[in-house]
Amino acid sequence: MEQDRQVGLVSSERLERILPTVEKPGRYTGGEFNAVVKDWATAGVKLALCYPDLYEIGMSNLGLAILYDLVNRRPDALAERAYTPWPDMAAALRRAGLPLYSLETHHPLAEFDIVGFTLQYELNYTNVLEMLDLAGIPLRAAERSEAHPLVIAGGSSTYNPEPMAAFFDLFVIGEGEEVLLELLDLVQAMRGRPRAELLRRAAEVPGIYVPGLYHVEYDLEGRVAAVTPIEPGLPERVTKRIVACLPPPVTRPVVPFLDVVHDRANIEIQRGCTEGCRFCQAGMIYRPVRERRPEEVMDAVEQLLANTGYDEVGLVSLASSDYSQIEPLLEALVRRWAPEHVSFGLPSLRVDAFSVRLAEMVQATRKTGLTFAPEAGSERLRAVINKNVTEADLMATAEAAYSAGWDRIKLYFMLGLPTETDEDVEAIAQLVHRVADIGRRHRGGRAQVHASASTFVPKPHSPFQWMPLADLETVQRRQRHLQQRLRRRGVQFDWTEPRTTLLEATLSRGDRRVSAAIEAAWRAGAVFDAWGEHFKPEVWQQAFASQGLDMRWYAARERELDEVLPWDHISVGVDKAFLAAEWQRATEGLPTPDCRNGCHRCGILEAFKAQRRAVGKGVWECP
Amino acid sequence: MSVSRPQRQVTAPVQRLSIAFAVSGAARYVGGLDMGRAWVRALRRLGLPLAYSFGFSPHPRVSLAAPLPVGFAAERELVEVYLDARVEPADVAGRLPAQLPAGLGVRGVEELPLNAPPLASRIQAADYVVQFLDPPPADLAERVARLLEAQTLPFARVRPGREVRFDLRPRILAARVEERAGKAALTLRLQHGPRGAARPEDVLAALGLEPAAARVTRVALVLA
Repeated sequence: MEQDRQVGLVSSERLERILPTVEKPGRYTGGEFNAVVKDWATAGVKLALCYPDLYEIGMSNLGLAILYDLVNRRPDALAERAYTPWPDMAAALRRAGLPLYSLETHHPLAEFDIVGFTLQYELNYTNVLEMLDLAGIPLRAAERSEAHPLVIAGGSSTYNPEPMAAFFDLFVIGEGEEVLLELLDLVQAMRGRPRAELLRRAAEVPGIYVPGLYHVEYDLEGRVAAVTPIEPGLPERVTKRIVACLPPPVTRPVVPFLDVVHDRANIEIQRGCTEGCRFCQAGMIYRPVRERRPEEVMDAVEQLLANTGYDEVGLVSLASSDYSQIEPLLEALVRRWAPEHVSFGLPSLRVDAFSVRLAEMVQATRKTGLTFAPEAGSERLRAVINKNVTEADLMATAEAAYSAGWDRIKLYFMLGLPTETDEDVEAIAQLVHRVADIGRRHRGGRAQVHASASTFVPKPHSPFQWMPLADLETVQRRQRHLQQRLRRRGVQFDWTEPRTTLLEATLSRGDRRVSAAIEAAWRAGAVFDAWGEHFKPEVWQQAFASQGLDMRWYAARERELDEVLPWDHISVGVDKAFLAAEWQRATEGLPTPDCRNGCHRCGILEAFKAQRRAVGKGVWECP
Repeated sequence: MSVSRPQRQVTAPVQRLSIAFAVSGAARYVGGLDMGRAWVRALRRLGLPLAYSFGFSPHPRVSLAAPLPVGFAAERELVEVYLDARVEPADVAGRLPAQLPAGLGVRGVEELPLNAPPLASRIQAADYVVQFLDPPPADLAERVARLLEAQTLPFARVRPGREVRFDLRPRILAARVEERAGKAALTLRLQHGPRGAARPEDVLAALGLEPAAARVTRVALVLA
């Protein structure tokens, strides 16, 4: 139809025959309001932004929305989107001999200059291979030639890029707002030059890691001994990029037709978190904390609503209650927008009565219930993980929430935390019962508690990075214990599948030999591993075995403090010595208070001295 | 501990509009619920004073006259909307296109009496044009003629998990083979509404044709 006019497009008549045969064809057609359709012929550099999961999941990612907006603002560049086709569509494309294409102009991904993925979750890794294969792009960086796009990745999982190293020409480590534009400039300037030369030059750009230019040595036990550049002039360690202050927010996001996850306008009010929870990778990798000024938030919300027509706005941050002006901001937003039927969502509320008051102001979560994350059941274990919430805090929060009229409270816990004992797990059950008692007192039979226990995965660049994944038999025994203890009217309990956790831990903590296992698993049919109905644990076991690798060795081996970790050559600006000291304090049960109130010298200020100097005091929440 | 919240004004709607629109391109693949939501958002972008329902979770009073099946194009669908303040229909028609996704087009904006029955209850039939991606069988016209000659057409509509049996013949109000852009096309008027509806795929199936290889456009909704 309209799109047939341009040459090189995936013919829409051929697509038209496929689309009626697949579930939710709207995932594959684009055409949403605010989608940016630029002239393909005159665009200087072309970037495909890919999310390796279903459209409905990927469309909720704020990071990609930021990059889409930034790149499309450039007159000399275009960015278009692609997501992983569900297996029915993947099969239909293969049957029809059609390649994976972008949503905006339906160009095959292979015709872009750069194909960029965001890696946010390890269980999406096989979807990257699926998309490259559907696009007709060789899976491995080493197999690509001048004819192929540059295949790159960024996102929080790339702080350990090694397990996916074989598949990417380069990784962008850290915040992409500036470095991605520098890369586009480089690709423009180097057009026609050999690929190897482009990669060599890219490797000199701060924040860019070209795995093919680094050599890994292993010791006799198979542990990484060293990761070193293969040529002089390359950085020994690649330090993440940050933006000194938050760039203007996206106010014209694509408005999907489909009912996607988090289908609302989103405004990032704060990046980073100062609480210092020791299990939390995000709390370390997104430092330093930067807030957006309340006036800028107010303006952005005005524009967002005018440009999207949404009636819900998510105030995005890792810890909403910590934003220093949160109460006046909410008051102003509600005063301005409640008469126009706009509600506000506050993710990640701290466990305290103040947070309940905030939630009351916005009212947005009245139907779904309030969510809090005590993370561990006992005061002892919460001290270990530096989640400085007391039982009294939680009870006061429950009182406040049920008495303010909420029927339902959701509580997040983790099983398998370092030093966890049966008593700590029993303490979860006791907490949940006490919360349920409070609910019953205020709301009678309508009161509900939903307790959710995920399994802790020790993540790179966190104080627990050296810790093993807990023994999964023990975790399962503790899940069963909670299941039994939480059989009560009004109490719901759910938990995560241990084999999913084992895979996640392996893929987060692996070295670059794991790439071969990922490829083997995908070749044997692994795809959409994050979706229970598609997850094939036996395929993964077989895939690792076929490469002579052991998932448990990667996931469940305690690492020495002086061991070279596969991600040591990637720096998030937080010192390894700080992480080790935090681990030490964890074993002693010592708290490390919120660093807004006093610096603990994590290293971030030292690593980003120049940026800090440029913005002056008061822009970062570092004291 | 409760924070005072601005009171919303609760008043009866003062105006009701019917917006006629066309569906093409990517918007063809949008389901009915999603299309309804897309309209609410477009009308909010336009800044129309949408009237909201009463109750615990008020929602804007915007409704499609007849959800369009996924995959169909359309020339004149209808959406009706209640407003809390009066607007000029011509002004809405002029400003609306800038707020619509690429595949939706405005065909007209009219005022409806506030007390008239809902548009959805007035639809009696719909007109369709079926174009064929592959050349249709040479005897298409004869097949259509045979279909229309039949007194009854016992038919089973098969959906995953269920099967609906009905007589298709009385629900086909008209069927004709026409030339469109040099190619044979099938035009249909099919019954719609509580007395039972037929869909173009039903007719294609009854004609022995493959529904996935057809491009269907709903050209008009026939109101009582």
